[in-house]
Amino acid sequence: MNEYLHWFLTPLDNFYLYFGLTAIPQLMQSSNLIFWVVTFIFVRYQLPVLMLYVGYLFRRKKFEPPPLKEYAGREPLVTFMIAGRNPGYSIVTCIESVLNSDYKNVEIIFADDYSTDNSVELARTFERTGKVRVIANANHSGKPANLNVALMFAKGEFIFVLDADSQIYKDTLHNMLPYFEDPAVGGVSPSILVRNTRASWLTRFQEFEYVMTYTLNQLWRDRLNMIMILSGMGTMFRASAMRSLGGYDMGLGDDTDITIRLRKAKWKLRTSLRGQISTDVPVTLGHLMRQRSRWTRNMVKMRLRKHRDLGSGRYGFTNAFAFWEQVLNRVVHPYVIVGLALYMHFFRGADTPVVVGGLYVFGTIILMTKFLIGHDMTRGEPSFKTAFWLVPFYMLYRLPLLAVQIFQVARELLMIKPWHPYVPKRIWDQIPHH
Amino acid sequence: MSDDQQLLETLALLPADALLEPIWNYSSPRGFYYSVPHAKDQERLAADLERLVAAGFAERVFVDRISLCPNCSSHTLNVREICLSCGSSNLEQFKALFHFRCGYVGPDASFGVEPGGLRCPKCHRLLADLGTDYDSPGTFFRCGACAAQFQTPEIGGRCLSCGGKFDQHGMQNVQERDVFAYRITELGKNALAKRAG
Repeated sequence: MNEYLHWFLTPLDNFYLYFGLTAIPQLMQSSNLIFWVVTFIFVRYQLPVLMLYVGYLFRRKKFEPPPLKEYAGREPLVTFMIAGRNPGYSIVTCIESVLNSDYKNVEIIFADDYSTDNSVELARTFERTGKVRVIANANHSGKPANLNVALMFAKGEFIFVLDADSQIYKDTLHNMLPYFEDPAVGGVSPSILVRNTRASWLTRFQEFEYVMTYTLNQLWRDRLNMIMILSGMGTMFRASAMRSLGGYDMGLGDDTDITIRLRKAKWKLRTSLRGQISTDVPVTLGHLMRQRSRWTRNMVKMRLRKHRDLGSGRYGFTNAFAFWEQVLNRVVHPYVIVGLALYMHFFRGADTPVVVGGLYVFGTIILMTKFLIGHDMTRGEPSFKTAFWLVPFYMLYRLPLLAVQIFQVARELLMIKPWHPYVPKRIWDQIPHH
Repeated sequence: MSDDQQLLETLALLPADALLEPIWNYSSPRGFYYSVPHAKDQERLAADLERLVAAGFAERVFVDRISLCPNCSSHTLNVREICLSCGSSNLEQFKALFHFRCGYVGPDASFGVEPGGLRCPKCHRLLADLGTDYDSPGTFFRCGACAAQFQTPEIGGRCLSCGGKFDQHGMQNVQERDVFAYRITELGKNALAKRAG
């Protein structure tokens, strides 16, 4: 314990404060594992967001939509592609949000994946507006196939892929379109907010999680040209970029796949802070764990199988760096946490309560900082009222999800039951599994 | 002649044991007529037949329903499928194909035809078997006027008499006329027998 405290209190010692510069070299020579863990957590999980916020405070204009040039005074046609299977009434909310947008030059294509409920009838009621077309697929073919069906019909200069359980805001398009003034930009992701925040405790945690993941993380990745996923919940694409790729490939993890293919084709990807969408998130723990199982397996499929060549440097340093950062963060990191816990238990048993307690407090301070930064940058999300008091418990919320990650990464690496019914079996059997 | 007597006169003109069926005729003002000997005016005959039904002397059997022009009420309304975007009837039907392996979806004409099957324009692989390599998400329409593509066209109309053109919204004002065949009821037969006696 003394050793642990020593490494943390050393920089605060009057002597070292006075000679602050000598404290850092002292620490850099540390052989204390915990020091390096804390340093890693700070550098990976706090520093990028702090730098982002400093940038936001001093160069706020960089975070607002770029000025309009080519699109000043005109609205190019934007095609919304919504693919869904049994979305039910949420398709109505989704379509209405687009029709009620301040941006009027839109068409909406709902590609129905052989729904067995009344989704098609509900969506067809909007066809008389002249802006909505409903394409009912004759077979169940999965999301990417239906997005490709919609792409065949799309007439827009831009494509907005939107999930049926998501919705846009009145100003979403006006905040996202300006990024396409740069002709090299192929896709722009919005900030994604949680719509059903008050549905359960889990949705409140997810509200906070989404601001960290889909706003703050995406934004610092945006600044470093390291965006590795344009979310399937909602993303705006340049139609010519998507067509040049031949649309979506088949398989799981369609959003990661199209993002990496765009990166490989040298399209620039951006994130919009002010362009926002909101979505429904899982309400129950079972549903949430199934969702994260799927995400984890898809991530391994995409990163370590189909697109592992991204890490070779063939597509440039940034792509390789972003690739390895993702592999470390999403694949290796969960096992390191478990390894560390086991190490503490077996070799540093006496220190465990203090170290775990210390890390918990340290982690919570980092999370609170992120909460405040997120709240300020997004102008109110996540809300203090519903989420701030949950921050100290956030790491507990992550525990079952960490277990899911560890379990599912191993299953995917060992190729145990790789198929998921999101892709029908007749199609799964035909697609290459790298 | 009283109204009742005139009605009985009309009743006597109907075939005794058969249906009086409409005969379709494009040049007839109503698109059909009833072949009744000595009946001079088809409009008046139709009105009399309805009065006979109301009096219980005849009964009617539904035959068909015809659409009438919202402008001129003519039966010469040509109803056809039109484009959702521009209202043109210049539509071409096509079948879309979906390649399982690479996910390409496009009109069947975009696939190359080769002796061993179809060639995918995205991945250039050969598609041999329907159901195993590929299937069809459906049959769609392409507008020859504005190039819009869609699954379900609208219904529009063109009146061949007045030239009026109607889109899906205009077609909601189409009038409809039911066409019936008629036969004499037992009550009608008794009335005829009484009149003869």
